[in-house]
Amino acid sequence: MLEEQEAVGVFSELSRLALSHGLNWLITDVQGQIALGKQATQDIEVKDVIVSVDFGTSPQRRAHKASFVVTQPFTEREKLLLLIEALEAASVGLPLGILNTYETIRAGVHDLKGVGFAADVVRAEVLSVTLEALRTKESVLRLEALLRELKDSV
Amino acid sequence: MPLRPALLSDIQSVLGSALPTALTTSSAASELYEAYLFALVCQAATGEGGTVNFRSRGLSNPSIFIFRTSPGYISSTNSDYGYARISFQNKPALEAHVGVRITGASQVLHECDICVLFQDEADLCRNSVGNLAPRAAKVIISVEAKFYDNSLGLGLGRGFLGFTMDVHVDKAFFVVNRTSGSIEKLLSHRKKLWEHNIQPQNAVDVNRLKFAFQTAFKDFNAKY
Repeated sequence: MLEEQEAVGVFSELSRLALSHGLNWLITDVQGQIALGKQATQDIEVKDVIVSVDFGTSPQRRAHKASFVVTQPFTEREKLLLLIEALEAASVGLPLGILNTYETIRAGVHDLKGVGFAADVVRAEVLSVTLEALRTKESVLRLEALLRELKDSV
Repeated sequence: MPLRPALLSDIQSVLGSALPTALTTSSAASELYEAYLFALVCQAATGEGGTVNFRSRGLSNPSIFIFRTSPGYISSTNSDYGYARISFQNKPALEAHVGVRITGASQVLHECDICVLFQDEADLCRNSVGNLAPRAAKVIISVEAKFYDNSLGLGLGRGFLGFTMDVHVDKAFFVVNRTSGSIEKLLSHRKKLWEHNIQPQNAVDVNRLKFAFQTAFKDFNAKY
């Protein structure tokens, strides 16, 4: 298990790697999650005023526990896990998802050459991603194993 | 397990070749994710005994299957967008589409990331003059898909609740690739259909979603 200070160093290095591959949006997302903190509930004793219907009787205060929502900051190890999971989603989940989509459609269209993406606007450029995804499957599976190893080390 | 010294450099050496080059924005990631969920809907239809044919407006077997990346209309000819025709024996035919606009009860247009609707409604819209949007009442499954996005806050859950108030689809799903405690709490409290952690590596979660889609098709088969 990593020490908190070690986790800070790995987080920083992994962020640098992600940024160098154009995943700025992913890092922004993780930083947003970290800023929100983790949510939990906490029982806190509160005192409610009980108003009596009898004139001349002072209001009574009754203590009881109420459940409040609190947010706590993530630990350095938890922050690192958030980053690893985000990276895994983008660099493993999406490429495997594209392959799954391609294989599902190819089961019905035997001469399918690929899946493409295009905005619904005049003269939209069609971006085909399948051949690239097929070529990189081995790297994706290797990366999946490496990120799992990193998660286990955290 | 201690951290292996070369682990980060190993990750660095494969990260570049694993990432799709198109993945430089969060909206690109969302589009790829919608395509994946469309595939899961089709797999669920097959699992429930349906026949799925992939088509486009112009072709019955398109060699490049094109997904919309911005909301549009079934009748659009900007590209030859793909869709799935789903048939169950002795039941009205259905179609599954990605990124089409539908009309809510208030006559306001909404975007459906993935929707399954009656084929006759889709045909009506496809063959119409102008951009006719299908009526929400003719949609049997809708999916709101959310991939890692820095706006994945409670606002999205509230937005989905608003969507389901105007779009009375029997099976409206909110599907996300990660966990989001606040949204899940909100949608559970409101008895809405939602799934989290949906990505290919998470077989348990993915199967649960596929079964939920299958249940929707089972209900359709019982109803019609």
